[in-house]
Amino acid sequence: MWGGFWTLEITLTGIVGVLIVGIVGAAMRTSKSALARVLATAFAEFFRNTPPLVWIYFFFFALLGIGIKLPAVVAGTLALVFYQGAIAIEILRAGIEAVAPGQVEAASALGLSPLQQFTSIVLPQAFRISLPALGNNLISLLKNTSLISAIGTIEITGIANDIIAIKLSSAELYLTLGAFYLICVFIMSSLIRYAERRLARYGS
Amino acid sequence: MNANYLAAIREVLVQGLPVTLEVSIAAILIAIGGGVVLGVLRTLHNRALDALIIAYVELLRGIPLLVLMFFVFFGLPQLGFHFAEVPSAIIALGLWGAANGAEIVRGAILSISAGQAQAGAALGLSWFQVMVTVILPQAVRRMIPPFMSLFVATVESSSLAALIGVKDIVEIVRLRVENDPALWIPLLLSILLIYFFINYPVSIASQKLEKRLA
Amino acid sequence: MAMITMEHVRKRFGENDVLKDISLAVDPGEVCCIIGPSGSGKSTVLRCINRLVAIDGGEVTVDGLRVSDPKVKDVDLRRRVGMVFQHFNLFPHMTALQNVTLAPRKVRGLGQKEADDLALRLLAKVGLAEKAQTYPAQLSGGQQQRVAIARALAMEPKVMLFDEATSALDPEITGEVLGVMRELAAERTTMIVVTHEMGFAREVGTHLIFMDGGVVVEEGEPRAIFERPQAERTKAFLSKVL
Repeated sequence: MWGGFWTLEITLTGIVGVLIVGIVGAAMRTSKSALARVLATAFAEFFRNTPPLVWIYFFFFALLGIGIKLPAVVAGTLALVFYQGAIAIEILRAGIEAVAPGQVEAASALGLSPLQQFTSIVLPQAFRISLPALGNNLISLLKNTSLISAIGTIEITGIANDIIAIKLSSAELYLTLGAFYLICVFIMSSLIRYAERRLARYGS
Repeated sequence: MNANYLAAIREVLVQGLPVTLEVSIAAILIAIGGGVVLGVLRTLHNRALDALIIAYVELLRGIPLLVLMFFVFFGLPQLGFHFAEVPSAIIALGLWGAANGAEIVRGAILSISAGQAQAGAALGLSWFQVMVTVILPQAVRRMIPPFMSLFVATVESSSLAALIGVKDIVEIVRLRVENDPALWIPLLLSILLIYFFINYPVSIASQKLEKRLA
Repeated sequence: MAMITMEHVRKRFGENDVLKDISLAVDPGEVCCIIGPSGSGKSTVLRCINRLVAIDGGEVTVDGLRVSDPKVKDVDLRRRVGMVFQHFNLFPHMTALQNVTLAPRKVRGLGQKEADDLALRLLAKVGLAEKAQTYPAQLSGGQQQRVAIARALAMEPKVMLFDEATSALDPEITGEVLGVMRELAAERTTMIVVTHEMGFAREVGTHLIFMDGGVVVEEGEPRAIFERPQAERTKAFLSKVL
C-alpha cells in the first residue's frame, strides 16, 4: 500500500498548486484590468468544463508527442492542479465578491494600497467565506488522484489494478481501496471543519 | 494524417458522442430521481432512516468515482452480480449522482422557510400534502441551478467510463491513437472542445438562473 | 487658510445628479456639521474629500492639495484625512489593536512596537484600552465605533470626517460615541460631521451646513440657523426633525 504514500504526496503538492492558481486567478478575475479578467475567466471556464481525465491524458501523451516527456506523477499533478485550480478560481471569486464593500472602503480611507487591501483585508475574509466550498474542492482533488492510474501505476488505485491483474481477489481489494480513501477523506473533512470552527469566532 | 484525423473525428462524433451522452443522461436522471426520494425522506426526521441515508451519501462522496466504477464492473462479478460496461458505468455514475442529488434536494428544501410548512400544517394538510403542494414546488426552482452543475460534473465524470472499456469519446480517441500516435494532440483537443461545448452553455445558464432566483 | 475647500463641485451617479453645485470651506479647528434629508448627497460630499469618489466637476482642496490633481496620490490625501463610517467597517479577522495598528504599520511605516504603543494610547483615549485583544464580533456597536475612531486617529490626520457615525447605533449607545467626538472637538480637531444628531450639531458644531437636493441651501452658525432658519427648505426640514 505504498501507493498510498504517493497518493498523499500528489494530494499535498496538488493542494499547494490549487491554492496558488486559485488565489492568483481570483485576483485576476476581480481586478480592474479587463485583460486580466478575460484571461482568468477564459482559463477558468475552459478547464472547469472539461474532464480532468482528458487533461491527464493531454499532459502526458500529447506533450510526449511534441517531445516533452513528463513523468506520470508530474503530468497527473499538473492536470489536476489546473482542473481543480480553475474550480478554486470560481470559488474564491465568489468569496471575494461576498466581502462587504465597506471593508474595502475603510481600508482605502486608511491609505492602504490596492495590493495591501487585497492581501490584508479582502483575501483573508474571502478565504474564510469560501472555506466550505474550497474544502470540498480539495477533497475532490484527493479523490481525483485515482485518475492518475490511467497513465501509470504509481498511486494507490493504479497499484491496486496491478495487483488485481496478478491475483483475482478484486472485490476485496476495491473494498480496501475504498476504505483507504474514506479514511483520508474523513481526516481531511475533519481538518476543514476544525478550521471553519476556529475561524468562526471572527463572525462576519 | 489529415485523412486519419477526419476518420477518427467522425468515429468520435458518430459513435462515441451518443454513448457519452447516453451514459450522462441516464445517470443524471437516476441522480435526480434518487436525489429527490432521498432528500424528501430526510425531511421525515426519522433517526434510523436519516442514519442510513447519511451513511450512503458520505460513503459515495468519500470514495473516488473511479474506484466505485471499478468495483461495480470488476468487483461485483465476484459477488455474483454481472453488469456489462455501459450498465456498470451508468450504475456507478447514477449512485454517485444520487448521493449528490440528495444533498441538493435537502438543501433546497431546507432553504424554504419553516414557516411555510407550519402554515400548511396549521391548515390541516398532511405531511405528504404539504410536501407536494407547498414545499416541493418552491424547492424545485432552487434545485435547478445545482442540478445543472451536477449535470456538468456527470458529463465530465462519464469520461471515466472509458477506463472500464465503454466506447465513449475518450475511449475511441485512445483506440485510434494506438495506431497513430500523432493523433494524440488533435484528437484530445477536439474532445476537449466537445466537452466544453456541451458543458459551458449549461454552466452559464446555471449561473444566470441562480442570479435570477436569488 | 482653509483646511478643506470645495468649489462648485458636481457629482453624478448614472442618471442621478447627487451633487449639483457644492461650495464650502472648513477652517482648521472648526467642527463643521452637515445636516439634511436622506439622499441630499451628504455622504457623497465626504467621499469626494478623500477621493473615495471622483468628482465630475469643480475643485476640492485638502490642506492645499488639489484633489483632482493626478500628481497628488491617494495616500497623500488619506494620511491627512481620517474617516469614520456609519457601519464601522472594522476588520473582523483582526483584534481591536490590530485594526488600529494596520495602517500605521503598512502606510506610515511604523515599527511594530511604535505602532502598538500608539494604538494602546488611542484605545485608552476612547476608553477601550482593556479591549485591545478582543475581536470586533465580541464588541458592542458603540465599542466598535470607538475602535473605528481610534483607527482613523492612528494616521494622525489633519481632518476627521464622520459619516453618520451614530446612525447605526441604538439610542442608549450613541452617547458614548458622541462623547468621544465632543472630546476631539474640545481638542480643536478639525472635523466634518454628517449627522442627524441635532443636539450635537447645536452644542458642539461651530459651523452648520444644511444640504438638500445636491446643493448647500443654508449655512452659518448652528444656533442661529436652528433658531432663525432663513430658507423655506431649512424651515421645513428643521420642523420635521426638531
